[in-house]
Amino acid sequence: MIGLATIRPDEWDVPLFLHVLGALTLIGALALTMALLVPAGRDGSAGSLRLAMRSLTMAVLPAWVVLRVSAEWIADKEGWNDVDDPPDWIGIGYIAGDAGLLLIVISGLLGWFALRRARGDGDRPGTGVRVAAVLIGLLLVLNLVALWAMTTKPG
Amino acid sequence: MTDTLLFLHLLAAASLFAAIVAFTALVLGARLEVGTVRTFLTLWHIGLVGVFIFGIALAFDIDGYDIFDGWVLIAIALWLAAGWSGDKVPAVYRESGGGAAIPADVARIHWIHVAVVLLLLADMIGKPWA
Repeated sequence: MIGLATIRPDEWDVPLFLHVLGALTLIGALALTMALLVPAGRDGSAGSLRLAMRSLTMAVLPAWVVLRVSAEWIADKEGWNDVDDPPDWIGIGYIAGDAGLLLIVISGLLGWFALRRARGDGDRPGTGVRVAAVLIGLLLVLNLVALWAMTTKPG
Repeated sequence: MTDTLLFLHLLAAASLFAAIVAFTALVLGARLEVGTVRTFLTLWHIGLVGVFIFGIALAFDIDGYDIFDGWVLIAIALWLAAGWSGDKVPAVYRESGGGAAIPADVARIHWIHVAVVLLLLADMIGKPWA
């Protein structure tokens, strides 16, 4: 595998660069979002929740798009899209990627509703924000598992 | 062994990126708690040391890679530049007690730092003069 990496064709470099950049930025943005959602859920801080929603929409979502689009690009270059039974590490990557979008959307909706209530009725962010923090934490773990799968390539 | 080293190398890089995302938020005007900034600064230090140690270990571990390869020497130079410029934003933010905006000259250093890290990543992928 490492031998393959050293003789990787040059035309794979751009999609691979974007894929690694997207993955690392996504993990970083998820860590920041969680670090903001935890105090928002614990102390009911609307300011932290607002920042968490900005982090989700301005960092997590764009990073996910770069990761997912470049994943298809590199899979196409490497010929994995033509394989009937792809190895486990590809499957783990798809699960983390596709389930990731679902978790991002649900967390975003929970955060948005909590922020709207905080603005309208002056309610402090509560249970919904705590659920969003757990979902973002789960997505962070999923992405770390995908990082392990991409580097160790099980199956 | 090589796979584990590569995973740890990328895990350290992820830690570095988490800090960069947080410091970028500060430069863009976000007001984070000082404790949160301290946590990301710790991630920055862990990531910086981790990418170096596991990167050098990989260069020794993989046949065909050498510590004196052009791309490894470029990576070390960029790593030194990243290490110098990486903690300027959290240092200024903590000194101000978390309330003040990041000064323009420190913000400029931060964007140079981001460019250096992107070049480092491009060097890792492209491996010029390998």
